Amino acid sequence: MMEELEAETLQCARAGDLDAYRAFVRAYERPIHHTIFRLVGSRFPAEIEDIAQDIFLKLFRALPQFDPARGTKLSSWVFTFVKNYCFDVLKRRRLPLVSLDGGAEGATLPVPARTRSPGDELSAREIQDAIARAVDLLPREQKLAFVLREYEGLAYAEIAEISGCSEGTIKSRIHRAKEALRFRLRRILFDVEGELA
Amino acid sequence: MSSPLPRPLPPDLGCDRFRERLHVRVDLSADERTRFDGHAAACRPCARVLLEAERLDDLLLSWRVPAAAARSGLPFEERVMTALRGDGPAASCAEAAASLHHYVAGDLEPWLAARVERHVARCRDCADQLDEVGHSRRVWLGWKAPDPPPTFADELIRRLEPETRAARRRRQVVELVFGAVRVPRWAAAFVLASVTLLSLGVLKMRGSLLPPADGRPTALPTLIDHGGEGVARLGRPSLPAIAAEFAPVGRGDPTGSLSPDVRGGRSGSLRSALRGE
Repeated sequence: MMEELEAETLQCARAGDLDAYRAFVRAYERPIHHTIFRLVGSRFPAEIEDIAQDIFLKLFRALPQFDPARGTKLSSWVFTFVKNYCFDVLKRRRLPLVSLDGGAEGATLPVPARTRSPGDELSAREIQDAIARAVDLLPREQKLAFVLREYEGLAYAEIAEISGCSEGTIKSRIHRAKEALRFRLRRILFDVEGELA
Repeated sequence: MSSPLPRPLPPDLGCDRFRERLHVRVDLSADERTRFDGHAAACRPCARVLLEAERLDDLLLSWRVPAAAARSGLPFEERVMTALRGDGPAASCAEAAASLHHYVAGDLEPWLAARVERHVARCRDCADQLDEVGHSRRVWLGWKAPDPPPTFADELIRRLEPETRAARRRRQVVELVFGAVRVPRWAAAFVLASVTLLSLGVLKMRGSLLPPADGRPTALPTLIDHGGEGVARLGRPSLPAIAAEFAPVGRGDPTGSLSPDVRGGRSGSLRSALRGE
C-alpha cells in the first residue's frame, strides 16, 4: 500500500523542490516498480529500473500541472501515468497483445521446462514464473485492473478513473481476469500448497 | 398574497451519513428523508447500496420466520439477525458462483456475504468451487515483485539536479527583468507578442516605402491615383497602360469610354469623368 503524501510536501514538490520530490519518490517507488514489473516486467525484467526512472522524470516535469483542488487523488494521477507509459512500451515494441474479446481465454500455461514426476513439487521460482506467464496472457485492460486491485489495493472507483471507464466495467474485468487465472493456474494449484505453507 | 419561495436545496448528506441512516430510513424526518433521497440520486454507489437494502427488505418480507425462532420468544431484531446468520434466504448456485471471487476478496456487503455462506453450507459443488477460488487467490497473491534498489531515489534526484538548476536560473532572469512589474504571465506574453508584431510591421513598411537601388519600384502602389501625379512622380506607367495590361482578352480597352485627358492621366479627377462631366 502507498503512503499518502502530506499536502505541504506535495506543494513543495510541485514548486520544483528536490527534497520534497525525494519524499514523493520514496512514497511511490515501490508501488510503481511493482506495477511496472507486473504489467511489462515479465517481458523486460532488465528494463524495469529504466522505465521507472523515465516515469519519475516525466512525473517531475508534469507535477506542477497536477491540481489537487480538482478532486483527483494523487495516486490515481500517478498510476494513470504508469498505465499510459507501460501500454506505450508494449505498443512500441510491437508485442503480441491479447484481444479484449478473450481470445486467449482457453489458453493454458505451457508445461514448466523441468520434467516433473507426479510426486515432484514445483520450486518457488517455477511457481513465480507460472503466475507471471498466466497474468501475462490476460488482455492488457484486464491485467491493469487486476494488478491495481489485487496487488496495490486500489479502490474500484480509483481504478475506474485510471482506466477511464465505469466501476461496473472494472468489476467485470477483474472477475473475468480472476476466472481466467483460476483456470490457467489449475494445473499447478495442488502442487503449490506445500510451497506456500 | 405572494406565493412562497421554493425551499433551498438541502446540502448533500455525504456517503458516511447516508449509510448510517440506511437501516433507519423509514424513521427519518421529512427533511432528512429529502436529503437522504437527494444523496441517493446523486451518488451511484450509494444508490446501489440502497437498492440492495430494499431487495433485502423484500426478501425478508417474503420470508417466514422459522417456527422454532418464532417460538423462541426473542425480540424481533434478535430473531431477524439469528435468522440472517442461520436460516435466512440463501443465494442460488448461479448467484454464488458469480460472487465467489468478490466473497473471497471481502468485497461483498455483509448481508450478501451471509447469503453466499448459507448457500455454500448446503451445496457441495459450490463449496468445492469456493475452496478452489480461495486457493488460487492465495497462489497469485504469492507472486513477488522485486523492490527498487535502495539508491533509486538518490540517483533520480542526481539526474534532476542540472534540470532544476537551469530552471532556477531561468526563473531568476525572468524575475530580474520583470521583477519590478507584477503582471500576470499571459498579459506579459501578450504585450511582448504585440510589440514584436508591431516592430515587424513597421520594418516591413519602411522597407516597401524606400526606393530600391536600381530605381524600379518593387511593388505597385494604388492603381487609381487621383490626377496621376503620384504615378508620374514615381515614374510608373499611366492608367491606360495599366488598364490595358489587366484588360480581359477580347473585350477591348476598358478605359475606352473615358475622355482622353483622363486616359492620359492629365484630368483633374476620375470621379468627374465617371459622372459624365
